[in-house]
Amino acid sequence: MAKLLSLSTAMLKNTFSLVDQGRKRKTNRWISIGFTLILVVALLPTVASFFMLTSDGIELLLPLNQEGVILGLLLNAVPLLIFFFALFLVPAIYYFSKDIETLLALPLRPYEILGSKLFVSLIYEYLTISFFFVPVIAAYMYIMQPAVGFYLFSILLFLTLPLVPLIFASVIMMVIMWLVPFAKNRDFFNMISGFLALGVGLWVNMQVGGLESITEGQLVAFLVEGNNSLLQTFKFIFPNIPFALNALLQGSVVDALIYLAITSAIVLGFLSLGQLLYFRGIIGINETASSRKILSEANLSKSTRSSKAIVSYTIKELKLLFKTPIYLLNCVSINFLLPILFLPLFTMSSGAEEMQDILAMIDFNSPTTITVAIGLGIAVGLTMGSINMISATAISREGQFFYFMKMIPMSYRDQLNAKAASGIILSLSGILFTIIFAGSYLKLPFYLILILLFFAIMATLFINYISLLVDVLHPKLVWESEQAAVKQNMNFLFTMIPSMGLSFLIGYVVINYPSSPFLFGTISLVVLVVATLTLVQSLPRIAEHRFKSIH
Amino acid sequence: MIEISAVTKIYNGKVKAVNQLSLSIEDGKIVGFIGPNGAGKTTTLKMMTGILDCDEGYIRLNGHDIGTNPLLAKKQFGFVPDNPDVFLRLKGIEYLNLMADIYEVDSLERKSRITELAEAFSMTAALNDKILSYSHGMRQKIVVMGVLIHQPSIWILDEPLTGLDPQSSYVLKEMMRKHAQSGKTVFFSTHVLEVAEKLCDQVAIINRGEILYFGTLEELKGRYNQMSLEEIFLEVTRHG
Repeated sequence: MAKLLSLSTAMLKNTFSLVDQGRKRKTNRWISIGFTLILVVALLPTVASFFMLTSDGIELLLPLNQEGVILGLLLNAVPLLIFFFALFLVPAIYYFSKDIETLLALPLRPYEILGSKLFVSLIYEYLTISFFFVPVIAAYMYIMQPAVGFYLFSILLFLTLPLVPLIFASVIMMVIMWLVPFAKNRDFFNMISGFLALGVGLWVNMQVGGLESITEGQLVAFLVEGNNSLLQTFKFIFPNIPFALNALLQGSVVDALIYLAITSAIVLGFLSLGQLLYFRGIIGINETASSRKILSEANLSKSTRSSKAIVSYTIKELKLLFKTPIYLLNCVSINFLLPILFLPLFTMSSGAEEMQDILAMIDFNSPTTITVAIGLGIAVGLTMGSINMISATAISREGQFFYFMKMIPMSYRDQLNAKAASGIILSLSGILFTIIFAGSYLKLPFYLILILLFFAIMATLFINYISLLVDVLHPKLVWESEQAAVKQNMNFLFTMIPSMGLSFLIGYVVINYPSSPFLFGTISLVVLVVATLTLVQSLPRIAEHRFKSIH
Repeated sequence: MIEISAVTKIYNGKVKAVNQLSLSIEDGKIVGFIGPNGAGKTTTLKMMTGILDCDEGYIRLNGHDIGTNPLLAKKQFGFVPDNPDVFLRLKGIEYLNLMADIYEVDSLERKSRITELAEAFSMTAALNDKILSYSHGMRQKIVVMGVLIHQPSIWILDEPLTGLDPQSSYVLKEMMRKHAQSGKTVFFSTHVLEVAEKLCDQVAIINRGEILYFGTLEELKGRYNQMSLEEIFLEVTRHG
């Protein structure tokens, strides 16, 4: 136990003390403080909107005596969110982090390493859930003025809530990684392990999750009954959650104790299982088989074909994105996963019918439709260009080999354009996939698909260069695992939040101030082109200035 | 020809890692850069290669200033860093081809250079594997090969022999000798005094960011009669 504690403390210090390169310099410190301030300011509206939304919800449900539904929703959604985040987090922290080989050589038991890894993941999950959990609970406390026990149990719940979903995700991952040594192509299996875990996770969720199917009559009966009876319609995946909900709503100490007992039992069970499985999956995880196959004359000629440096550099960026499991999962797959996640919206039977009804009412030739298509195209381009984080982490991903950029006889202009190109190519694949799929499913006219595509492409060029600018100004070059370079990199928030905000703003303008498609299209196009060209021109100079202060 | 003139590097506005360092290395010479840990060797090499800026002074490589004309200056040298873990997810051949593209080596020439270097370093069977699967020594070799592919006239190497097996170490030393004999320049840092003794025409001894001695080893030995090279090094750095 003592070893587990000291290992967890050391790991935590190491993870969170990995500050940005060159931060010691005064100017860089100011950049970091500025970025943190912008981040806080940017996130405040999100937190405030959760608070307001919860307050409105409680006030709506209070007359029906169903205010507990809010807590039910919170305790249903947050663990699920943790579970899905964990499916991305666990492979990187448990299996692919750089400290693994050092830890394996130490006289430590599997559960001690596993426990410390669980602890580090837990801290990351606190950061994630605080944005949702704190404002909702705070709004509930503000309106309901509950007893002291509620406050105490809320703190306890915040600290323990991520444990069970995190462990569920860890077990799925542990089983998959245990199978890796049996896989014929280990490298490939390592690479796709994240997808497998995601698939298993989705399947588990579909099998056991969701609301109970109830009739309308039952629903009305529940509503009339009051006393938070609607909660009976909820079904929870994680076994400890119903007790947590009772403890919160009824101030039941017994339920709180049962919740803690189940949580503790799951933690202990997990550590015991880890004692059996963890090392079987982890030993040799970073080993890559070598074929020792001599290149044939033909293959050597093919492999040594010359290309322009900028093309070769772009291909290098793409190869690294595809060949690094963490980047493949977080940066590449998202371009294709996002459209697939929206698939049920179109294909669900009732959704499809409603969609057809709505589509039947739309006049595809009206100017308003074209204006909306332009706005929608821009929104898709901005979203798909920022969500994959490729350009927003293009410099950060270099890590300790950042010096390579400074050492080679290739201008920053060419290197940055190559980096932007890799982001743009993958964003475009996602855009094509989304728009062509949605366009053909919804049977949109061809010219409308072209308009959507054209403006999406222009917007994605812009957002990729903006993202690159953010990473040039604030790269995260010191990291222990590739996961940290992308997922624990705040840079993507600086592009995600503004691009989402901009998308909403465009939507607001299009709906409230309908203008001719020509006027709206021309203004949008001029703004996007001028902004992108300005960025392309000024980025190399900014990089040259900024990179000088990075040692 | 390498000209380093009154170069200074200050970290965080306080720590002088390199102080008014001047060196002039003529063509056709192998020069060893020796000094204790933290003496300023890597900082100097990083300034020479454009990874770090000089706070004062200038560095010229074959007459091209690394500060004012970086692209041309960078084409003059090949740099082997002390950590060979570069682009681990790429295959050896992919890395070499990338380097050849960056340094604009044409297809025919790169193919024959790769074949030649792979044979010399016993890497032929490893080219098609990911660098991730290589041992430390093999990674060191692929980085050296990536540098030599464009046949730079100046070689700058940071601890190049660390991790190499005896055969590869011998091959690299022979290559360094041949390179210098053909009228070109080799500048490398090392901790191994025996290597410096056997290989170098001149040595530069650095401590606390300042050059304490620059010249031939014979001349240095002449100053300290009856002392071994190790004792001389300790004596020089102690009083420096």
